[in-house]
Amino acid sequence: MSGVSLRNVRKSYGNHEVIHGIDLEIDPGDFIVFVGPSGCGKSTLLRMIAGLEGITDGTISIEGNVVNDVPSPQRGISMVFQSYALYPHMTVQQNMAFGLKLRRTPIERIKETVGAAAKSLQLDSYIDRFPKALSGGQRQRVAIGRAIVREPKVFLFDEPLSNLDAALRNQTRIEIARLHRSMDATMIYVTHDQIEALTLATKIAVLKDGVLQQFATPDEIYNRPANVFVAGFMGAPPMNLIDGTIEETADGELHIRLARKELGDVLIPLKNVPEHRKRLGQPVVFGLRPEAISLAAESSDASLSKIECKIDYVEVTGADRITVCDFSEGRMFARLPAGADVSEGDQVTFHFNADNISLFDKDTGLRIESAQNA
Amino acid sequence: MLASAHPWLKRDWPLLVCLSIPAILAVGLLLYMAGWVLVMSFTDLSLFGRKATEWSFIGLENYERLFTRRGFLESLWVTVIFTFFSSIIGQNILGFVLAGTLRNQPGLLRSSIESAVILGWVLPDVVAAFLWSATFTPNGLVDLAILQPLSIETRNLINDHPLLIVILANIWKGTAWSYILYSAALDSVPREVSEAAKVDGATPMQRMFFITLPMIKSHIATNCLFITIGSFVYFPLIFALTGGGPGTKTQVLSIFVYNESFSVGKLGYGSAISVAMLIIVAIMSIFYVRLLREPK
Repeated sequence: MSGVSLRNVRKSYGNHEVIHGIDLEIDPGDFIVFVGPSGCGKSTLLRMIAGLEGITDGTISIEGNVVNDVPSPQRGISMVFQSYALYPHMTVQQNMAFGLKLRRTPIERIKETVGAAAKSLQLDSYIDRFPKALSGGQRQRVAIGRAIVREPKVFLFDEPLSNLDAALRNQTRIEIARLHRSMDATMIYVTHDQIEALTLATKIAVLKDGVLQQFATPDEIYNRPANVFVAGFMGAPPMNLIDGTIEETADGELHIRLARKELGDVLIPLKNVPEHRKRLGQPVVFGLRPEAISLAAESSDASLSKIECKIDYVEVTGADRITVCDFSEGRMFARLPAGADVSEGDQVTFHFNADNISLFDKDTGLRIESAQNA
Repeated sequence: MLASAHPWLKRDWPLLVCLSIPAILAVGLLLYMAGWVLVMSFTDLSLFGRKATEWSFIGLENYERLFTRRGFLESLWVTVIFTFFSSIIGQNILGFVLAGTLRNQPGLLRSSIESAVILGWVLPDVVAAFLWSATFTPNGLVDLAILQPLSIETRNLINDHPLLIVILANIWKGTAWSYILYSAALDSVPREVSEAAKVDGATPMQRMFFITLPMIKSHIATNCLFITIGSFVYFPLIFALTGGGPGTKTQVLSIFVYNESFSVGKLGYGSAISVAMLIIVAIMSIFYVRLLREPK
């Protein structure tokens, strides 16, 4: 039995369809992150699971029960909102107890549950304060506490960290991860921040324009993106995507010839497999993670592929140096170690292992399976 | 005050004085008027006759009359009924209900009801009074369209239920204010808070009583402050519709002041009634302003 199951879920506003038939099977206890650019429908999908938006078509089930027409409170869910959505006229204690009171939980039990939740969230010394007397991080913890005390089967988080500053965001992220480990509940989390997605999720659902692009583990999403969109969206800086053509050498070996003349005449060896052979002469998109690139040295392994480029910009992030090569359209990023001796205007040779690349069909944008690192 | 003023004000005395003139004028005028009324309330000044020129101070006699003569207490009671039912119950609740139900309605329905409500508000009182009068008098709209076709005996509704009609007219006339204020207030309640309550299991009624109303408490107090004071001293619509009658059935305090001062001509007594009204309004204001205070 799955924790949450979405089958062909659709949502339209009038004639305008925003969610185009999404299928997802979420196992109990999983931490699922919906990620995608603004307007991709991730929040709408979450609100549909919460029961705050109707479903135009399809079914949503929670623990095997279809909940399409079940009102929010009876779905066994709790939700943490982006704006915290605390009740401003109630104290921390009252905020957390509100849902329990409505369910006519005995007072003693409410006190116990709220007390325990407050303690675990280090809110016990603020229990009688009003939300306006709390910091952003504390408010967020109250919102999480309010969700915990109802002991839901499914936790829903709608961009809960986006109103916090960077340091607090990292800290709260760790707390949420810990919360997931300590509770046996399914969590669904919406974010546009891929770091949150990659660090928190057991599985990530990448959405674009109301269509599910890929649903897989963070590792798989990162290393084997299902299409050009996922490749370009996940990762910062994103995967470099460069057009090329599959060609055959005189001795029958396959390689990709890159279309970017700025990079020199680059030939990347390809495995001689039918999947590649049948695309001979066809345009493909070659994908390379910036961190798979390193600066070529005299002693470099001759088996590594090489590309040349002129560095237009160097971004120092502390731990790394990210170099940017601008093309007439698009750009190429390389993530080099902090000590790398590069500066703007340098003409450099990069190398990378051709076994570590992704390959996509130019027309459909889909990953060509059995590509190098498959 | 100067110590806490903006630095460039401290350096520029003439500018400070110039800028203060409107404030000084406003406060001065108010004190002058109030002082004048207060002084007059201790005299037997008349509008006409001998006492118009040879008036004298008579101590607290006018104030004693408020409680010993017929008139003031009856008018106060009529005013309280009028204010309570037309503003607190009528305008306030109707305005809130309209704001609450219309905010999620599609454009046409909303804008037509909105226009109707606001039209009542912008219509001059005298015109409104004429319309209400034309609706409820014998051979008026109600009579011609409802009573006569049903062969019910023609009656003068304004004569039979004057206070009710005046209250209804004031509700119709003043609801727009509450509607507009509550529309803005409801917009200030974030959607997510209301949704959080929904997920928490609150029914629409529980959301209204436990979440929305407490969150707009200060708006409610502001609205009640405005509409109770507005209705408490309201004059033109009632005067044009009933003139305070029949008898004294709709003689609210403002009409009583007018009658005593300008029909009977006892300016001193009228001033005392005005002072009493001022005190009542001040007490109501203090009550509401206390409600407006945020909890610590």
